[in-house]
Amino acid sequence: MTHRQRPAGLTAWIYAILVAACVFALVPIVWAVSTSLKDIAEATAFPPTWIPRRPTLANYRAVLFSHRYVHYLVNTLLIGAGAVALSVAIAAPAAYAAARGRFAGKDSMLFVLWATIMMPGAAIIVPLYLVTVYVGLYDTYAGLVIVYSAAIVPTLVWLLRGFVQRVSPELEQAAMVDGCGRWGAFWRVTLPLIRPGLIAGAIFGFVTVWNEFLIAFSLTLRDELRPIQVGIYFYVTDVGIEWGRMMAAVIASIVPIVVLYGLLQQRFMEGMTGAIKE
Amino acid sequence: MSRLKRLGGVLVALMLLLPLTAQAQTTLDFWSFIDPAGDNVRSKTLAHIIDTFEKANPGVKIKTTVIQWDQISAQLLRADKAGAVPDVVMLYSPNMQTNVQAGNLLPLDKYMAAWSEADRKDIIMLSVAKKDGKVYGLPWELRVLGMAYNAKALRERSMSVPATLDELATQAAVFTKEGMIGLAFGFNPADATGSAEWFIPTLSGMGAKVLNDDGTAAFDSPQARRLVQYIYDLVHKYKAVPMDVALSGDEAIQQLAESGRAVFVRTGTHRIAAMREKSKLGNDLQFMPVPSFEKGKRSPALLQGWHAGIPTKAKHPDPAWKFIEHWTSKDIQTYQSQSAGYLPVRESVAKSDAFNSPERMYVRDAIVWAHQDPLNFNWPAKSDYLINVLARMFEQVVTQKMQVADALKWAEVEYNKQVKP
Repeated sequence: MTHRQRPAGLTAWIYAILVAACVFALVPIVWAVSTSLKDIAEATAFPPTWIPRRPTLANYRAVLFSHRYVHYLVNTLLIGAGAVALSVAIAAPAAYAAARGRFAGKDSMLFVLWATIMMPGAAIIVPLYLVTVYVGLYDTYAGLVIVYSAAIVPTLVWLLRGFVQRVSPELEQAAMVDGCGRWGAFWRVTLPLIRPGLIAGAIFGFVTVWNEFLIAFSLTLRDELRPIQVGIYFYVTDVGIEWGRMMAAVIASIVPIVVLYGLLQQRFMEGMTGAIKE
Repeated sequence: MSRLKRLGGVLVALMLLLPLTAQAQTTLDFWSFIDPAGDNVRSKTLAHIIDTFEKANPGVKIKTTVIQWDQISAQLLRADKAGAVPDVVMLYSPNMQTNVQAGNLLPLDKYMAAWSEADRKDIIMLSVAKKDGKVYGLPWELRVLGMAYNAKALRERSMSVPATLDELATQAAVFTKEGMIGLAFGFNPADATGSAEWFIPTLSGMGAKVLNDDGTAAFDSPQARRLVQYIYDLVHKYKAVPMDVALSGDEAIQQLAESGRAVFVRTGTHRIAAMREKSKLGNDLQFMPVPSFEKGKRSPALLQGWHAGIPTKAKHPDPAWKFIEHWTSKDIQTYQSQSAGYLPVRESVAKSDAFNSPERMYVRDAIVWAHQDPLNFNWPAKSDYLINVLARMFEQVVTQKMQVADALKWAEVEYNKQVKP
């Protein structure tokens, strides 16, 4: 049924459901913004208020000018960038092999690789902790980057495999006829053509690291290494939750991701729709 | 030799000699849940304590690692395995035995032997910090667990502070009927420390045990049945506690008091200052001992406290002890109590005039209560599990899934599975 053939009533229902879904997603964010602008008494006052009676930026001042918050932000950027770089470096050739390669056990290997996506983080956190301690990577940037890369790579391989399959093999063969080896064909021909997929995968990986809490919390000890999501947790104190500051920290942590998505939205959509078509 | 070469030689010689003249620096790794760089009163108090210690001990610097308060014990247990322990660690009293029995903490007796007898007796020791006669940590602050109440709400209805648990229930029911929350008691297993901290001393005050001498559960007693029945009646007979409140956790309970909705709430002295600020009740938010079923008799005061301990594998135990000694000294305890409202860990400080002001009077009352009716509860090594089992037991009763006697029997079996598998 095309858009033009759809009955008006059905269109209205579709819009109603979409609006309800948007409201459902946005209400917590709006409440967070509201709470971030409230003083300490109003944050837990009853009846609750949507619009603060005495709006204040004190929570944002306390959070944004805190040396720890800036530190957590930088940590997250470093860890996210490192994990994305490592994941893409591993996943791109792996996806190429998955798309083009013909070798024994390929399907089984891919199945095992993709099955790890379904493994919940909580189930493997204890062995992860023990392994990182044993190899000396506990409480290090490198440890976090490697663990996050391991979590992101399977999804990236799945995503990029579709993009590689869309690239015509004749292009690579033409490159090889001109003197490129297999690696040269991949590097000079295939990789540039799957750039939308690389960007979509990089955004996905970065957002995954940005939002992740359990692994970061379990594999870091020193305050110097903590990423932003672990840092926000510290507003839960032994004498109560500092709701205003916590919400200010949450909203402030959303901003970089929103900006990143805003700048790369088109590429991201190209990448995701490209993967779905495959 | 050219002038330049001579100058270079002098510079190199200075660079080689300078480290020898500089004082050897020791950096103490300190795990704290309070950030000394923060802007609240507790942070500033800790910053002052660290600063005064460093000034008095020029060769020692303290490097603070801030760890979430409910994760410090777990982190210490993990860090011990990873060989990455601090020199000084803060541990809450229910978590002390877990670490003592795991062998994570150094006995402090050899250090305390240098103190006078009077000094040793001046410290209010909790039994959770001891094992086989040895001391494994000193408290740096104390808190008494009891109840807070809205004095203004009572005044407006010409009510006096309830003297028994039954009076508490009937008064609370009046407020709940009017649309407030008369009594904020929550038993959510996910956030249940407060419910255990109320139940254990109240039951002990009734003359019943919580645990047997061998560490197994002694939950099912006539007194426990009466007390758990009371909890059931609060929700279903008196209707003093709404069901959603009864199934809330400690944090939600506190927020009910902070929002001014709850009239009576269980809490500790350490939360009163923050609750007064947030609720805008000021001195109208008062602290009271937990009543018992008998008129004129209070339940015992459960004394808890954060301790400072030295991990067994600490790299610098001697300067670590100096820091703990500084922190528990009379001057620092007096300063700390006045600035941050902590209960002092020294008897001599507790008796001082610092707590005569209207704002601090509740601290004095709590100290008096703790002295007259103390309960020094021996939290077991599996204290988290004890708290969880008790909370689940209350949940079963409040939601009418189990009768009181059955729930207590179930809780005994459940707890003993962990203690004696």
